Amino acid sequence: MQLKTYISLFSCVFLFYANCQNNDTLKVVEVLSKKDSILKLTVLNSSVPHYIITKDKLNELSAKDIGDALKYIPGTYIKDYGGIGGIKTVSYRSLGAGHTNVEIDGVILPNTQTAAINLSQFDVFSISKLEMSSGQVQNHYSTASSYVKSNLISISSSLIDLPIKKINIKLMANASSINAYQGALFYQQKLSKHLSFGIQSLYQFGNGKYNFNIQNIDSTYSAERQDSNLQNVKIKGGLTYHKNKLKIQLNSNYTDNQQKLPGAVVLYNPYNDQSLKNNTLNSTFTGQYKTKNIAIGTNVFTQNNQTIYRDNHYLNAAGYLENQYANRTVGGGFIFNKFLKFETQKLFIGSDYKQAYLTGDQFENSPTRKNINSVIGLSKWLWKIKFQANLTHQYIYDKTPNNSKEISHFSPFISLAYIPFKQYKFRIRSHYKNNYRLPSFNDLYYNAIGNSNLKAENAKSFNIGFTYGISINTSTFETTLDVYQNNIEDKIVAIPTKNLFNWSMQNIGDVLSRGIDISFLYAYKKKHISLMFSTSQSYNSSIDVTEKTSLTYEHQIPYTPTYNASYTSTIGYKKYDLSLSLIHTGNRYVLNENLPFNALEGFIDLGIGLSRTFKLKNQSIYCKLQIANILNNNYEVIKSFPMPGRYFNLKIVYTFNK
Amino acid sequence: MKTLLLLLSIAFLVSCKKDPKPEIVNSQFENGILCMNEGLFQQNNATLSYYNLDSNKTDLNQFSIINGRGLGDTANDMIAYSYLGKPYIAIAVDVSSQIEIIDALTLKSIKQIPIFNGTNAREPRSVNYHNNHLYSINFDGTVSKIDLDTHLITSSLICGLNPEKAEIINNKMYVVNSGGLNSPTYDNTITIIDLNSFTIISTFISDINCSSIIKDNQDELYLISRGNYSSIEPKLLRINTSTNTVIQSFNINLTSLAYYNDILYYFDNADQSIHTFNTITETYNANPLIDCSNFQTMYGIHINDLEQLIYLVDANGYTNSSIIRCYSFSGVFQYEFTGGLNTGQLLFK
Repeated sequence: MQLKTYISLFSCVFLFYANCQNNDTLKVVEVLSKKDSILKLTVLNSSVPHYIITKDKLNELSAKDIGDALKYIPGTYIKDYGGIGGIKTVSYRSLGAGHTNVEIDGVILPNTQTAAINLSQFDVFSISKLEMSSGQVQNHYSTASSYVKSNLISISSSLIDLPIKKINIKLMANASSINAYQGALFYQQKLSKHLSFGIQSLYQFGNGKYNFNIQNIDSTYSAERQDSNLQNVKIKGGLTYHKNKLKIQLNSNYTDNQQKLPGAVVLYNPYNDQSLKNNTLNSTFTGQYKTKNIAIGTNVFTQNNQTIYRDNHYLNAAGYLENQYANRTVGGGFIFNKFLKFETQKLFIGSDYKQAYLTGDQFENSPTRKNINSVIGLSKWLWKIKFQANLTHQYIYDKTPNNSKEISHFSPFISLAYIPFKQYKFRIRSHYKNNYRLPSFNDLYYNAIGNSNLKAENAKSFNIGFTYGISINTSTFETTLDVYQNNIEDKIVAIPTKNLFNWSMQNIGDVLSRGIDISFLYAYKKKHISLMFSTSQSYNSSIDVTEKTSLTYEHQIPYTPTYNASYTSTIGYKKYDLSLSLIHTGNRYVLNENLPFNALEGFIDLGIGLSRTFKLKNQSIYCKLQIANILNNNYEVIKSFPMPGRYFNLKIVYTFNK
Repeated sequence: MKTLLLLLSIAFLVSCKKDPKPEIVNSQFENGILCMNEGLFQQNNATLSYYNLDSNKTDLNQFSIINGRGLGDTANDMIAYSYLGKPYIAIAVDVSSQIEIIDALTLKSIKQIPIFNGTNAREPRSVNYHNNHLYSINFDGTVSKIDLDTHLITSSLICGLNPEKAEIINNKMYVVNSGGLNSPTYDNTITIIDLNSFTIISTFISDINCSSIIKDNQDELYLISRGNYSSIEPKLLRINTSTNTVIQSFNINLTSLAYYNDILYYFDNADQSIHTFNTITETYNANPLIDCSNFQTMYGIHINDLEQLIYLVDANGYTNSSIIRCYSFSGVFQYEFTGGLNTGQLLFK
């Protein structure tokens, strides 16, 4: 079966290649895709859902971390545990965090232990661009691993680009009334015409206390969210060499995090004493080489991570529970693109290798994983149709002291986009991707719970939609609409087996997910006034189709709102910017059974920010006052984890470039 | 722009639609079955539901409807008792660490008793009534004595590790120490407490990780030793309370246990059936009484001695509503009804 898919896909690829050699309608089409305005989110000239959040957009959204920012992308749902240091993971169109890769400065962050990346660890400070795409990666340099999963989040930091000015300094201070504080420094210097050096550090601290209310039937349970103390240091250093066709980058990151975990709010029992310490050191090397005919991307990385979790209220003989984990990963890979006359048409091939090793208290048998991801693909214009296809292959070989395991999967991707009119920015797009979420170390080897017989979770995604944009004089209007279907099979879930004490990971559960994602943007600019309004609207029906006789057959799966929307608006006048951002999430269920008792009420979170930029020669100061959750709504994204009510945030950023 | 506004308003309307509030039903709690539903850890969703035998309907969430607040997080045990001639119910709410006392006729809360050691939750796992006092068996390794006039803890004794349940014979309380949170080194002891003086008499060894404890009419104790969930299999233990020794152990892969009139009823995982054990002849019947292969998750056996009926709980994978199925003593299916999440105890009224 796999081999057949493989062969047929490849014959398709080469057939198209052979037929399309002389066809050239490209220039006309690509002219339409001018550089998007800075506050836009959607990429109109993409054949797959693709969103870009620029530095300015991040400011406008008052996002603390990338998890906050991604809430504004249609189809995403951020599982937010709230407060400072609270975990945020992404679910996109009902595909869990394990189906989304996170790439920072061109390197995929390895997380073999849980397969889900905590997005709150990426502060927006000195991020130059945040992207999210579904289906296929939309750049030349991301290596094979970026292609294997259904979705990709890419973070680009300012440090990796060769600066225009010789000395670049940025200082940031941030204080918020939920007792969270940040200070950051960025320094980048050009050592020669082609070489620059940079360092940045961020310190975050505070006790994170805030008042919350939780509805307890007819009464309200009010208390202070305690035990959120946090101390977090991040240091990053980098060296960039960029000369003509060649760009080389060396990066090192160190993070030390010590925090208390506030835990779930338990009625009538306010006491809790859990803590988490972790530190991560990673180093990456990336190289990019581009000519008129080819582009090559390559990277090498190492990462060491240590985690200590402690619960001082654990009722065992010792009086506490402590778990330690150490995770080591090394890897590297390349991608080679051969352009077919234009950069938008190409053949590409690449492969990545990664090796991960984990030891920990909860892993009696320390596992090692060797992982090879490969991709081969084609992008080609055919009259008014853009054809894209790739085939990825994932291979893992796991070894524990007494066992070994192999998983291998081919997954195809195919996309067709059609541009019917030369004169309009109108595009119809569609894609299909088959995607396998490989089981993580936790899924397979965690003491007692892990199940080494697990298969990969299988998701098939279909998308069809259109993008349209028009500019008339000073106004711009853009819209996208996508209809999708995801069929998820062999979902990896934890279920109790023999009894309530014996949970185990199993491939149980089929989900049929269907939805519509819509985005609108209206922008107006005239002299000193600029106006921007955007919204994303998502409708999602994700039902359990595992077993017809089950109590939950055709019930909406947990933590999946059927309706989710965001609205942002910015009014700019001279050096002032007033921004509004609103998230509206509908009802969700916390368990599989769609009973009113299992429902978690929807919420609206409205934030307002006012900013001003003071510009001097070579210097600028940016100040922003933000009121978050101005309506002071009490809500939970995850049951028993209340979010903060109204709070204030003041941010000052000083930049110096000379 | 108009289309946009229209779409937005539609979106707003659609999303504002709410589920209707559940209708409040005034059940009389006279002819029916009160179910304690454990709920799930950290979800604050322990509930009481009531199956009305007149209307054959289940009224969910009775505790919160009547008391205007939730029962708490993870209810673990519920008993009926009478004090000064009035009927009461006591509920051990484990993670919330409370003993909830309610009026058995109206289900109105009389008193919520916090079970804490400073800022450490003791986590009551089960509750026993004896001689005008309640005894809370706490997961932190203690037993707390509660005065029913003042509803205060008068004192707490340290027993073994992670005790689950206790049984009382002749003013003596036998506390089963599971040591469940000390896996793989489980506790294997039983602590004997003299309830007159509320002091520990002695401790003896039974077997590892015991949960259920039941006394028979001959003052013998029957326990389930759950094993270690891997290499050591579960057992049924028989204990002589005059010598305080395990006199017999049966290699049965059992999970639930109930007793009535010289018969133990247990669930055997080997054939997914309910079997009986005669506590006079001390033999078990190899032929199953009730076939439970249609159950998704066997979660408990409860006996209604007045009506001579057996009630079996199917917890449906622990995350969906339980279904309670009723059988005659000869194993013939009678009827079934829905409970809440993880129905752990039943009281017949």
